Amino acid sequence: MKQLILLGLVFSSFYSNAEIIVTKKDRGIFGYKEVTEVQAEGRHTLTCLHPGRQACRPQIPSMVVDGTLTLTATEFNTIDATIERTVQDNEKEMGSFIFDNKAFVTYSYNPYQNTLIYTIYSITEAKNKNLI
Amino acid sequence: MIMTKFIILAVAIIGINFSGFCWTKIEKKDGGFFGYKLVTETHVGGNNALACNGPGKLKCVFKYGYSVEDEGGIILRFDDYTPIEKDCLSRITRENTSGSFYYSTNLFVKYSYDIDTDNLTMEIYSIYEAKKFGFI
Repeated sequence: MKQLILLGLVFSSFYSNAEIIVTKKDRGIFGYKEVTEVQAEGRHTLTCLHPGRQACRPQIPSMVVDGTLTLTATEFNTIDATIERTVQDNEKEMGSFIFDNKAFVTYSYNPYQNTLIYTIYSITEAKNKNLI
Repeated sequence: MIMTKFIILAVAIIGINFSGFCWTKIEKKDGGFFGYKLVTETHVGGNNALACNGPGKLKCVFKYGYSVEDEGGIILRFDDYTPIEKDCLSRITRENTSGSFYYSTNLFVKYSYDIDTDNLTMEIYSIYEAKKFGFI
């Protein structure tokens, strides 16, 4: 019984906080001044601030979202470009979409604060959180 | 009398066809993800200025056509500045945040970028104008 409880806790912690959160604020013409990437307890956070020369990209070649989803750098870049294109073309400052039937993405753009934030979940995680 | 009128007309024609002031200045500051909030375009006496400021959704481009001429004819049309701008950005990325270069045989370009304020300025002069101002 104790082993079952322990196993349940392992799986619950494995699937909890397993998303990628990207925050971009005040992008300059050539990129960002500060790019901070943190991985903690399954949550991967990428924060890009202030005008500078750095691209807002993860440094690692692939990002493990959880046990059901690993994103390559190319896939991350595609999601990133899709969000910016969607906001610009459709003028929708908030929304969500499913990427390649394996990731769920929510995004929000605040024009007054010049900030774009988006979160990438696995489909499993999104269902666990009742996002879809 | 006729001779006087002819001289006046000749001087006027020379003055119109050989524009002494023919620079183009583009300034971009504090842009957003999708463009700028304020885009101001002015064309005065042969000078053309484009100023783009603040985060917004407007593209930083000239909307109204213009051309820059020197004694040889048209040396810059309003959409010619796009490759010039690309050249400036490329140089800033590769080299220094400020500098100058010749573009084609007719134009002299000065650029500068302040990374702290995200302020990019590009100035395009005819060779004549650049010499007149002592840039070359």
